[in-house]
Amino acid sequence: MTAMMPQLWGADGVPMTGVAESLVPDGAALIAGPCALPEAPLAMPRQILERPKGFWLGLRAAPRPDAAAPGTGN
Amino acid sequence: MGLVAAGHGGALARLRLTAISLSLLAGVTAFLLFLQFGAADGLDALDVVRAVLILISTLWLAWGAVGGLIGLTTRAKAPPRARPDTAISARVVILMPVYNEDPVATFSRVAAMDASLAATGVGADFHFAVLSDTRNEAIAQREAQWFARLVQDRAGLGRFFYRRRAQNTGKKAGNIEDFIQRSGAAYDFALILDADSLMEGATIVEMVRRMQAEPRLGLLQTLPRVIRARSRFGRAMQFSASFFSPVFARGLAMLQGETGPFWGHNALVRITAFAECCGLPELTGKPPFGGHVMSHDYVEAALLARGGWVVRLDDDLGGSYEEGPENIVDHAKRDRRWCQGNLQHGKIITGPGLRGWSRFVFAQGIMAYIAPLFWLGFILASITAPLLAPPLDYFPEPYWPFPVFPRNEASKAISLAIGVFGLLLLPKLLVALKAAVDGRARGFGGAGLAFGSTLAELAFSSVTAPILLLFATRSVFQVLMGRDGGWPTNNRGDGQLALPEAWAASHWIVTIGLTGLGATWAFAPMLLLWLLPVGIPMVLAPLVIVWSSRDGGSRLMGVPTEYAPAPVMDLQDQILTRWTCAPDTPAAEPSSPCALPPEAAFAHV
Repeated sequence: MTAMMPQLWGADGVPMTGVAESLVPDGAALIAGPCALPEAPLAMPRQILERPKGFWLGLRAAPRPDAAAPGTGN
Repeated sequence: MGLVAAGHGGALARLRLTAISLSLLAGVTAFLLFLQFGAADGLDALDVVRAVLILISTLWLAWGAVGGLIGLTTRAKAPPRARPDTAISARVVILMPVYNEDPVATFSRVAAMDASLAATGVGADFHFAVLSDTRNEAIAQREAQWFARLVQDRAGLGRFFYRRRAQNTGKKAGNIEDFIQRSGAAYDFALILDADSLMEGATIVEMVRRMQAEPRLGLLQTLPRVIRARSRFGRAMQFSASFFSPVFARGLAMLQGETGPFWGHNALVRITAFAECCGLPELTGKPPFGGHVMSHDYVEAALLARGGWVVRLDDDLGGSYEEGPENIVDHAKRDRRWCQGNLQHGKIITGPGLRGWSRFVFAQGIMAYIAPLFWLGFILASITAPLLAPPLDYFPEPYWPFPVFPRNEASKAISLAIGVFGLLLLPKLLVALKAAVDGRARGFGGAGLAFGSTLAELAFSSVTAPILLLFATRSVFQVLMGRDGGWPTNNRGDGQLALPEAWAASHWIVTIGLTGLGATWAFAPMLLLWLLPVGIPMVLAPLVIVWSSRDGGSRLMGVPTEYAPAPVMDLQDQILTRWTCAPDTPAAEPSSPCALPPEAAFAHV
């Protein structure tokens, strides 16, 4: 199987001889080279989904829905 | 459909108002009928409680029925279409998020969709990205092996991409977000799939053309049909999704207008709109209500609408498929996740700037899971009522020597029962009737067989409904008690269950059924007959679960894709046969199904 497969590249850019080896030991990402996702970043600002505590008591102003929330998650 | 597009806002508002008014009318009628019934022997507080419970339950049932009636009585307006020869200028990527899935089945779907796209002859360069969140190392290794096979098989170098995240932060929504943050600028549109999604190339091309033709369109959702079901439960779901859902979806599309739904897969998104509007924060607090947004799709649809983008369900688009759970237990597990996600929307429903209809959709989603509690509350209150009822007073008037007997208002209760059953049954029967008249029934084996299948589905869902009701109720209580359901892997095998498994999953339902029937017999024997249709399936839950998980091969509940598989299904079958039975199948492949029929390859994980 290995012989017939397209060449895959390790995360370090070194061609791999076996596909399974293209997985780094901790299971993290993976296949570089032509099979890696293109690098073309696009920002994805966090959205405001919740009213702040105290909003309903009139203690806090309503947030702007288009304002970016503090970054959390990935 | 952009069914009621801009400029038709008045018509949309009238339609929504009519639907809500009709539902309210049904609920209030049920409320008044029950009050009259309860007042026959003197109105007490429990009668009022029961009347309120029946009001809410009937309102919910009526809302579903009205949606069906709208779907039956309206015709989809033609969406803005580009000419069929319009060139595809957009850069399109097809995203396949996977999480501990069988790579053979999953990647064969990718190969089939690629082949189907190639067959359209549009000559566009569609890319595929497999976005792995797989945690199981053995499955991850198989993903790598089979991805290589996929790339080679479809000559996909430079078009097919694979990456596996080190941390699956944010689950599926985080997986998509990670792709957009890393590679989003390379594309204009992304077709978001599930691991079990399958779509015709022609459908994908048509979706891209529609999105190119409507610059305000942020998300275009298709109506996926369930395919490849084998068990009785799976085939009942498949028939329902294929026969009834298109009508109900049309009703939904009519009501939602441009504030349409996103069901998380088999939908095309405009990447700039998605990136601009759909970066999801973690919600405050701990799971199950805080943390990552679980049912992210509803939220993303609401956020796109908040950002001024059109979100549309084009129910006229065929060629969109998915697979479903094959047994009640797997269905309940999936439902547990959805339940937590929908209840979590309680924190978002008041979010700033959301459209009113988006808030209403969140409320509907929450109601879908708490509605069983109202029915259960009504049943419990009815069993309890005789215990708490004051003794009958035959001489309520002082100094009046003749007894006053309670009025017999049983006719009110019977009218109410007929009304409730009518709301449950009538829309489906009307769908069958319309299908017979307009010829759609031919795809389901003809009018006679389609009608028989409808009756069979009604009987089947009547038996399984009480069991599903208790599973849903347990899910709601688990969430309310703060238990996080996590992110279990979907089972996509044949799903056959043995009695011990079914018993382990449902013994508590048997206990509740026996206790409920015993209490009814002891305290409210006049209700026993009414409650048997609910109680007996509960008592027999393990048997029902086992029976419904078994092979459901029958002419009843046949669907068009069983009579004539869709071209993309054929393509996938051919690919599976070639992959799993070729001499170069990976030797290390532990579960190579060469000796099995193609469909068995779905049963790996």
